[in-house]
Amino acid sequence: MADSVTVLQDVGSGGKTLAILGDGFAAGNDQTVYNTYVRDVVMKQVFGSGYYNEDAAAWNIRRVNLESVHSGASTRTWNLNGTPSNLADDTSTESIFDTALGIISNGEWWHNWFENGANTKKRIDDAVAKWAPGAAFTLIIVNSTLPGGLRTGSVLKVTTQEGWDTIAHEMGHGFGDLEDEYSATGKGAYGSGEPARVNVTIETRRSRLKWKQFVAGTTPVPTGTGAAAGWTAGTKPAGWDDASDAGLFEGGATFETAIFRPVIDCRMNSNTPDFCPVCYTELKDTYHGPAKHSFTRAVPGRFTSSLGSEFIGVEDRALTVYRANGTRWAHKRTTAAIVPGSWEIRPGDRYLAGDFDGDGRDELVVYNSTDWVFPYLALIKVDADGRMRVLARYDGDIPGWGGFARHDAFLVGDFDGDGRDDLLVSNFDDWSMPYVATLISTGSGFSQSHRYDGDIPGWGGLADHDEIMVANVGGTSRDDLLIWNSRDWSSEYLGLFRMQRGLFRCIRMWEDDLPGWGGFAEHDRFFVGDFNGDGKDDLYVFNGSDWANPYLGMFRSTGSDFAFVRMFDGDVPGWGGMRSHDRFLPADLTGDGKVDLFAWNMDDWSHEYAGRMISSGSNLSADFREDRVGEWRLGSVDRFDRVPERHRIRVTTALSKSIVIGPFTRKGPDRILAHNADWTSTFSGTAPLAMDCIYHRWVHDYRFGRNW
Amino acid sequence: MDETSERPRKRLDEEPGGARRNAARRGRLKDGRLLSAALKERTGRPKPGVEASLALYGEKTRRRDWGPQVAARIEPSPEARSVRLRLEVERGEIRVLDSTVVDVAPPEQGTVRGTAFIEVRAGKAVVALQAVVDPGLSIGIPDRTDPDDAFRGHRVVEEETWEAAVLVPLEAVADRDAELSVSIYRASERLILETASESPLARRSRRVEELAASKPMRAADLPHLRTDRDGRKPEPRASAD
Repeated sequence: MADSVTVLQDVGSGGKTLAILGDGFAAGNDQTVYNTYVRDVVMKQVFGSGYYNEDAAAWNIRRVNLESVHSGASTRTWNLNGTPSNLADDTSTESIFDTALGIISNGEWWHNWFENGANTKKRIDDAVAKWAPGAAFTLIIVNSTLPGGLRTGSVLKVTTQEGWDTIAHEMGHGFGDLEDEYSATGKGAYGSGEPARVNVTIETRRSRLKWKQFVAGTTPVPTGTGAAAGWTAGTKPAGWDDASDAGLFEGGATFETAIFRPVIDCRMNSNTPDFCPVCYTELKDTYHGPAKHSFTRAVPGRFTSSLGSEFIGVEDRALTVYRANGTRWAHKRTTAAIVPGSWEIRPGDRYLAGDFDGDGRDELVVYNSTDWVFPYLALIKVDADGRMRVLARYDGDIPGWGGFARHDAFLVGDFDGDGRDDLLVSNFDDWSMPYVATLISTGSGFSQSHRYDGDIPGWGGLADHDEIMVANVGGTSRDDLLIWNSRDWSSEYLGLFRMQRGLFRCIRMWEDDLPGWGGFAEHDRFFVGDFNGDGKDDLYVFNGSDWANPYLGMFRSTGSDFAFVRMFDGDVPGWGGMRSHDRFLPADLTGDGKVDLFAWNMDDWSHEYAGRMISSGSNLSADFREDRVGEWRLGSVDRFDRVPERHRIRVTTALSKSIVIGPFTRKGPDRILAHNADWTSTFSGTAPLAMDCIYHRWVHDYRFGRNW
Repeated sequence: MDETSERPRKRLDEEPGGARRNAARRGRLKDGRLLSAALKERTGRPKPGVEASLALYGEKTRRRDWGPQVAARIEPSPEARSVRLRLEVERGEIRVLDSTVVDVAPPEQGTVRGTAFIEVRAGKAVVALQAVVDPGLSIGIPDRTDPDDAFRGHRVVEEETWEAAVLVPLEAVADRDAELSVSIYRASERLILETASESPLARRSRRVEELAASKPMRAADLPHLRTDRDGRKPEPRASAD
């Protein structure tokens, strides 16, 4: 085997590059040891949690396997001769071996742990230039039984004796240009001007602190005085977090006094805690661009637990699980560049959530028809800790479909009623006729059960502008389909399709009208939701542009038909007038089991509006917010998604509080996730819309203050 | 006249218009034509049959890892290449030890944050500006065996000679007579700087001091640099052969 490079993580040209090199690893088993160290310590531990995991997508990571002739790095043993600070009288013995980089490990703090051998600098540079030429940071793992770590600029050497926490701390220097926040014993007082770095200061006035936005008004400033101080200004409040709560604590930049740090114990102090809000924010600001973070795309679901609310933030090169914590969101885990198994995350990925294995938690289906030489589809499992893995992948085709194509579209529903969600795939663009097929989930993959070439029995021909929706109209364990077409025929059609003996059939077709609607028109839009809470999906129908007035109709499901309930002509009471660009998202906003409408309009008025249309089962009543929901400024770039919620409840009876029934799993109320590229927020609709939380560029619950 | 008033109102008080059917007749389109006849009229490529797809795909294989997806091979464009300069700094003077054309795009234009910077200029225009951490320092990690009351922390050594590398856009050296110069600065506070600039950092900010600088050098004089433009046409005779 010759020297080689393995791309552990490819996030594209906008990302930074981390080069990982090894020295003193011979061919054979040593390379396995090196690979294992990189996998377990760097990839799993350093980039597996906390800040580094959040911004993992900023880094192209290349592991360079350099084969040394000798197993084990060269060593030099120093005799300090009882005068450690006087290096001039030190003597040494050494064992110099033929290794790839010629690094000498000495295990001695006074001698910087490492020394360079012949041409070590050039050998390192040659390796980086050849295998990872754009490296912004180089990590060298030295195969030695001695301890040690040495950083020279953006090159960090550590021996295999060092753990993830040493690397994580040193990367804080190298990635974020952060200062140490600890104090060395006997170092004394800092005696210079204001330090350049963001996480230490000599300033003691609250109003001029570099990190004043993170210090609560109730926190005394200075908060801790004296050498390497903890909290000294009275009693530390209950619930104070030494790593996350900011104040002004004396000691930092290795000095004991006359310089201050933001928190008692940051990673830049004692390695193992995560970064304090000041260091965290500096790193986030630095790597937000390279990581290509964006809140534009979100896939709601329940991925790591059957309870609660979650969504997956989809970015060009990363997937991030966010989990609701009360009314706020918390970062659970980021998967950067590649889902093990394997799926390489790309901008053209399209994601769907569904419980494809019937375990009460959602999985992801991803399809990409644009970034590779042929399309791919994969089923991805999200484990309880947020890690992802590929359960199945289909390259170019799924058996029986006849080949994936660019405009294949997918819908999720449990079509065979086995408790596992399935897929419906359709293609109206790429072939000589439209095709639709059911891909039935096996729990760990999909099997095509039937393909419909040009028609689904009873529909009278699939056509280019058929719009397919999934709806459980029958209220059974099986989902049905609705197909709407207002453009390909001389009439407008709506069809209801039900799976019978393994085949979808059109069991009802409405031509030109749904009784009570007053006639279909081209721009009718259908919204599926059980608005009366009877377990059967009903229909909201809206048309804002084909008639003199906008109309909104409610049609309840009878199981195999829709019955007129109510028509709103021009307005829903409380909405202030419907207009052509009113948009709707069905969601159980109040948690009463009836699906309401979240409504918004950013186009037809001089102001932007968002509001609720609450279903009583047979009627709607509306209210709205103008321009803002809390701090959220409504705008045309906003996207909205329904995030379902499930929680366990126990109910006490009226007879006695000691009689507790349950726990029951209760659905709703749904959250409304508002998001655009830089901002995300959650609205609650149990009362007139209110903003629960808001985040700019990243989700982080600062203990006090925020990043804007 | 209101725009919407030109459109009709729905006739909600009338009976539903149009025919209502439970389904289309078997084998017939909505307009009454035979489905099979309509499909024959269609142009374009039909999808391979279900049986063909099953046969082509073969037996379903269960794998734990499906391997990398196949990407189209795209040759790197000149914009996706850069020149990597290996620099040596000694007593305030920067020397270019080596220069290599690499298939890596130069850092994207935007901002750079930090307290020390390497700047490469062609003439007065800045062609590369990147942050550098702890220039000239080697910093050993703390000794884990130090007791709490004798904790020494990092050991910091100022290097007499040290190295750094910087990526420069390929087009910056396209003009072989371009006069290149390199500076390294230290800032008195953390700065956020635009990377694109027509003037050197020393002129843009009073909060920086120059730690080291190179002598001006022609792009053609960069050591070991070989670009695509260095190749010479073959002799006319060889070409004719």
